[in-house]
Amino acid sequence: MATKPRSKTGSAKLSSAGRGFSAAKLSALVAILKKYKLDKDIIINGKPQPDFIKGRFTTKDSAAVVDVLRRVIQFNGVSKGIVILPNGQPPVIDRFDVEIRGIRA
Amino acid sequence: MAAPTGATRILQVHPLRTCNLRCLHCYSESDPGQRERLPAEVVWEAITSAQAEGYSVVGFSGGEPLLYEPLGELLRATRNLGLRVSVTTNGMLLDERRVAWLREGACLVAISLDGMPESHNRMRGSPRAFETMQDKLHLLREAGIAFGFIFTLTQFNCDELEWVAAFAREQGAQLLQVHALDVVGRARDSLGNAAPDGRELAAAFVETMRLQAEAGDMMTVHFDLLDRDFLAENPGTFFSTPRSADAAFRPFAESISPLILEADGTLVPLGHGFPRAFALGNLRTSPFPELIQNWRDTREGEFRSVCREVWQEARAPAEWPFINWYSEVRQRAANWKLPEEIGIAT
Repeated sequence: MATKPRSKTGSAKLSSAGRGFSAAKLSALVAILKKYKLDKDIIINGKPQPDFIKGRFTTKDSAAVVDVLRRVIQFNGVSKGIVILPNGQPPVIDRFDVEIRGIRA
Repeated sequence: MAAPTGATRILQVHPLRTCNLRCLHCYSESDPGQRERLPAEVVWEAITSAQAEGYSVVGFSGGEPLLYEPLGELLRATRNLGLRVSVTTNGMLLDERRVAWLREGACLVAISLDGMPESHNRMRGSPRAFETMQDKLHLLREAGIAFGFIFTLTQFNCDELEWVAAFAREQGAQLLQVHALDVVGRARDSLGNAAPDGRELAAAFVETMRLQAEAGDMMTVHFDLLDRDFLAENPGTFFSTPRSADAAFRPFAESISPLILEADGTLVPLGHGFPRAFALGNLRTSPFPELIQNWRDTREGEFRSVCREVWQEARAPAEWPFINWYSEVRQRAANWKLPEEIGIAT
């Protein structure tokens, strides 16, 4: 009796295309990337902050822009943590909307 | 108090269940024949009450929100309150009039995209869904409205993520959100075996990380995926600790985020279709403050017990490190016996 072929999983199709990994390699990669992902998100003063900062600042010259931004966000390299959302809900994208002498950064 | 939604506290509004499509994976079982919709006054009461309780983001979803005539006015008024607003749409009905609504108030328009054109059209039950949506994107670009795509990950489609990311970048999207299929709503009948397992989640995670690295600052790639270790170390973020002593005196947004307003007026925690036994009640029959007070008195403890069980199970050793937390909590809540159901006086 003919049986309906089972659909290939997405990861199997990735492997067929030469872009997939064995289970062991995938596990190792995930372990590394998990840490990377957690480390690269932004947190301010040890607490997650509003994802959107807006303001207007004055600096003497354009080179001071980075110093202003540093002072505003006080980045200390600590993980912000994970944001997970329910069906149909997009995230608020981290954004720093800063205007300095008419230049939007 | 932390929440799964991070620093933002979200009210998600489903003003109607009418939709121009009948998608295989629709969690709200929306379609052209559904007539359920909320009066604009009820939606507005939810928004203003939610703001007073500390919610900072309002997400409009559906049904197809672009079919809801009061949307433009609500978007403008919501933005004027100082709240951030997103609209989730299939993108097919975008036209100049509706784009004007969005320009008034939406910080982000999220468009559903289920893979390459053939996959997208199959999932959407329409042979022209992709082409029609693609043809409308220029309207958003020309209006300067930020937009992104939401991709539903199944057991069978993580290989299409690369194409989806390339398409999103090419179109000028600021966001690609990957969301694992939750077998709820219409997906129960049509996609019962398609929820991604641990290995598929892991493979998709590696893909999204690669795609984010490629996209750089041009586009955010967001994956709604919870790491078991993170859950284990942060029970308070996921409502798995007892309610704090002063919780009753703090804004309700610190107790629950996301909070969902469904198209029949019911408020539920976490996600559309969350078991009604845990609902706050119906905003068409009771005011918001009364509903939250009643929920705090009668349901919050049980809700936290459900979340705690999911947290405890997630701490057990597992082959793969990720969990679809919303789905796990919803399933656990669906099978939960409340004290009154087993004869315990509360």
